Amino acid sequence: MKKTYQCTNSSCTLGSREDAGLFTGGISKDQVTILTGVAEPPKEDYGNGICPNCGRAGKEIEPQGDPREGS
Amino acid sequence: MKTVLPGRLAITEEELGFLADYFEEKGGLLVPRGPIAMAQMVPTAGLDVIIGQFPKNDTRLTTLYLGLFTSQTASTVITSAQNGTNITEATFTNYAAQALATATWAAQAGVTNGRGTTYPQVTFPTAGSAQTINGFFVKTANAALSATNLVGQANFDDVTAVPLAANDVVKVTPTYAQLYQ
Repeated sequence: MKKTYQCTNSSCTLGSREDAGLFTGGISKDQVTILTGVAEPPKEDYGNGICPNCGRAGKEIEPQGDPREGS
Repeated sequence: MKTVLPGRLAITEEELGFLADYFEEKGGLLVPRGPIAMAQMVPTAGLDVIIGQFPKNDTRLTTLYLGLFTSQTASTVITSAQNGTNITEATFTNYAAQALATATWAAQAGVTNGRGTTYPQVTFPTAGSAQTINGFFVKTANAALSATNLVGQANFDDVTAVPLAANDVVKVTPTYAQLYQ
C-alpha cells in the first residue's frame, strides 16, 4: 500500500480550509519549477513526502482500518 | 440536411438530435425535459452506515473520506446492490482521498424538497499523471474501498468526466441532502 502523507502547511490549498490535506507520492521536479520558477530545484525540494500542492514536507500517517469494525 | 422549424431557425440533424434529448415541444414551444441530473447512489452498505448513526448507536463517525473514481461513467454509478468493491478508486500520481470532518459540515439549510448541508470546497492533490475521473464517493475510512465502507457515490453535477492531465487539480464541493419524499 502506498504511503500517505498529511500536509501540515495551514496555508496549503490541499484538502479543505478546515482539514489538513492528504497525498501519496510527492511533488515532481517539474512541479517545483512550476511552483517556484526555479529551473533546477535542489533534490530535497521534491520527491516522496513533499506536498504536490505547496511544495512543503508532509507528515507520514498510518493506514487506517474501518472504525466500525472494532478490534 | 437542415430542418426548418416554422418561423424560427434552420438547424442540422445533429443539432436537432441534441434538442430532442433535452427539450420537448409543448404548445409550439421547446421546453426543457427537466433538470439534467447526475447519477448518485447510497447503496445497501451506505444505508447501513447511515442507519447505524441514526437511530442506532454504532460508533460515532467523526471523519469521512472523499475520494474520486474512474469506473462506471460520467453519468452512471453503481446499483443499490453493489458496494465499494465495484468502484475503482483514482490512482493518479499523488492522489489520496481527503478527510471530511463531521464537525465541518455547514448548518442545515433548505434545498428543493428537503434539507441539506454543504462542505467547504475540497482540493485534491495536484496530479502527477493523467487519468479520467467520473465522479466522487464518500467512505468511512482512509482505506481501500470494501464491501462495508462505502457510504455513497455520485457523478459530478455537470455530468462530465474530468480528463485530468499532469499538474491539474480537482476541486469538489460536497453536498448532502435528505428529501421529504
